Amino acid sequence: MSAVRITNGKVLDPANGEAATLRDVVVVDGRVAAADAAPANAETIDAKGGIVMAGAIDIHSHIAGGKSNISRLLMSEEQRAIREPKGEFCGCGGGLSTMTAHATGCRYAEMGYTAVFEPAMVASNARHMHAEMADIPFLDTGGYLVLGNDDKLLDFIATGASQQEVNDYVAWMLAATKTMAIKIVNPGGINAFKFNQRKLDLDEQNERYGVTPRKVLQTLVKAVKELGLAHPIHLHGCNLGVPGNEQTTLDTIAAAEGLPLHLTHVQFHSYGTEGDRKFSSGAAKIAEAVNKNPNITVDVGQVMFGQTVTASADLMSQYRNRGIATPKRWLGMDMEMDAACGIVPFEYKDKNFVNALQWAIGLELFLLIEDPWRVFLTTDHPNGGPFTTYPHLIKLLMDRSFREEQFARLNKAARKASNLLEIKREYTLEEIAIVTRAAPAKILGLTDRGHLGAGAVGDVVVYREDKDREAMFQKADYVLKDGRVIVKDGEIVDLVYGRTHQVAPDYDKSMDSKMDRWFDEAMGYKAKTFRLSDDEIRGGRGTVRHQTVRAS
Amino acid sequence: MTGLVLTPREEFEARVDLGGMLPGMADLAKHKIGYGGSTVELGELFDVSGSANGRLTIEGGGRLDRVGARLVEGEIVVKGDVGHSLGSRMTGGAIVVDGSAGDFTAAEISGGKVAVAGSVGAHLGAAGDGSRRGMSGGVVVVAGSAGRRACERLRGGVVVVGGDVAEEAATDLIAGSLAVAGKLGANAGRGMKRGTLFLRSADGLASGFHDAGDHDLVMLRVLVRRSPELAAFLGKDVTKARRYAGDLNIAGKGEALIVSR
Repeated sequence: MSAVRITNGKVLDPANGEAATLRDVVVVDGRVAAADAAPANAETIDAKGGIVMAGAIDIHSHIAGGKSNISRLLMSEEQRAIREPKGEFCGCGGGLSTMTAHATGCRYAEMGYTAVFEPAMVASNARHMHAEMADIPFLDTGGYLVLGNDDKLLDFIATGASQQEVNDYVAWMLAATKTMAIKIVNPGGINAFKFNQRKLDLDEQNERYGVTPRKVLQTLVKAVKELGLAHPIHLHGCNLGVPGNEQTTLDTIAAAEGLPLHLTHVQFHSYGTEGDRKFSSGAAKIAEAVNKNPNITVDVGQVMFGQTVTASADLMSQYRNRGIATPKRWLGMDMEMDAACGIVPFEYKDKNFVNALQWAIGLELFLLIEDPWRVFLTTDHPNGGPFTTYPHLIKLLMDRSFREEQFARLNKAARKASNLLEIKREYTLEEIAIVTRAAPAKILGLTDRGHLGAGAVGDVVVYREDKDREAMFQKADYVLKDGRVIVKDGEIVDLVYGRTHQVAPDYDKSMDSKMDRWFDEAMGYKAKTFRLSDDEIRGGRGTVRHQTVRAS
Repeated sequence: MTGLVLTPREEFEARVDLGGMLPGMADLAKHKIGYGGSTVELGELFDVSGSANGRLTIEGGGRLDRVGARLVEGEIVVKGDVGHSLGSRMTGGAIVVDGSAGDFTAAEISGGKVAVAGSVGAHLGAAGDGSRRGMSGGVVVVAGSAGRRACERLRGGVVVVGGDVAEEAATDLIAGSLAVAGKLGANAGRGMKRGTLFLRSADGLASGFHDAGDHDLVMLRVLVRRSPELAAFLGKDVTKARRYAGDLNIAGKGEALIVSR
């Protein structure tokens, strides 16, 4: 039996209503246990002056897969320039916006993150992505399956297949790729791009299938609801980055018709067309709509200044942005019959009007959306900025004077166009604990994570209380993963691997033969080759399966 | 004049990484070097004798990687073979090897001189991993042959190879000169933007090179005066050359000059 007792720390556990209670946290055999459950010889960690929280969870960060790998190749000079510091458990790999697997795990763990989810797993890439996620130490992972541009689904919708059949298809795909949730990227738009359409709004038709994004979205939202998945549709909507897309986003919220919907990197979808430059903040309108509709959750996708790489399945928007690539190179590719891939390196500059306003829009969203349980802290790593900027972002949210200081450096016209200074709100420590831990666990249906109640997984973090919140969240004092100490004083001290999470709703077995036939007819390989088995996940350890209640 | 002399104590059991070792270093025996997966002091593997005067001789080679990498000044002489990345990214000074060298010899150097009496591996003077530009200055002379992709993405400087080069030489060459006295491997000069290849025969040039006829180039005389290494290749008073322009597939402005002796 292994046991660890963390004493003298203030426990901040919003999921269980604990706001800085002075109590011991005891982890026995990898699970949080009652205070008296620890044996006398348990390892004791003195957390005096520290804040104890559950391990942080990143709901949306592109850490693995085809696009990450291609970004590394495209930005090979970054791999050379930024090397991981040598240490007993680190020292291989590097990069920042194109970080390698091992470095990703190390940097996340040092900040107190113990679970990170890859939000865009293109089905034909599933095997590669699982292999790469298994190479990331310290973190629990899982993928969201990209649907909505796959020819099979569009074909189902175009030929008037029943919702039941679509549900079976979605469940079959989830089981085959061993994924956590459904992601939609530009519903129907990537497919339309392949047939030479260069824009597709919510109610425009994909010319090949005659299907609108609204129809794709509503079909899948319903499928997720009926399959009983915990995580709602993870939607990267239409018109990403297009000025005036706030209206599309509002229409999308209405299109959900009260069913649960998660809008991802909503900052990129909150642009108006006011002002001389026809680019303005739509944050107020979007925040108002989110506040009004309790079925909507969002993650922000905050823009952070500096060099990064944007990598997305949304080739339609990446193709549009190719001209502003810095450095000047980009790449777009077709991904089987599932989706596409576009890589555009980009540097966000605080003296650039658009970038500066994007930065302000993200913060406005964070501050104007009232319920911290429905907004999550992300930069859409690496698209808005690398995840290593999270501590800086937390400081921006928690410290108004710091925020105003940073605001003063922005492009002058952008300062004029933004209302950020009028917002007085500062995030409390408890709210930070919600947006980085409790709320992501809840929205993903991870009942034993994101809190420190008895029975929760032993992912525990101790931060040293510091007025400078950036310094506080940069390096955790202690991080426990499954009850083992992996970080001590901000340094990695042990190597532990996490688990892969999946959902596996039932489906009608007739879908097996239907999919066999589809693969034989349309794909370059057999369905049985496509399907992943548990032997292929983390060297045969398999996945953690989350039950779903299939609503009848 | 001998300067420092390094003599290997015994045969190496693993590869030795001499990157960062410079001839002017005081207390060289204490300098940390890579040995297999571990780090050791240089004095554990080599006897160090003589005094530092900017010249360093390694008596006997073998599994020595990154000799003279990032060299700034001074001279390194190796009596034997060396491994990969000889002199890579050096900015000045000179390296003389009387044996052969491995891959990435003189990769990305921007100055100085590298002379190898034997042959070299792939990627001579080329761009290393994570770089878009190869060697940008300096002089490299290889008496023997060179491996694949010699001078890939070369940006400047002069490279002279006495023997043959393997396929894909001068791929995506940006600028600079490569002279090859022996045979050329297939597909040489593919994607070449500017720069010059001095050759004995056009066999092996990429398909994008087009014959531009015989020329009388007085320029060659000037070149010979400026570069003794090229003089050794071209000979005195040569002006006649057959010129090929390429790579026209990418509208490149490079050229291959066929000069016979």
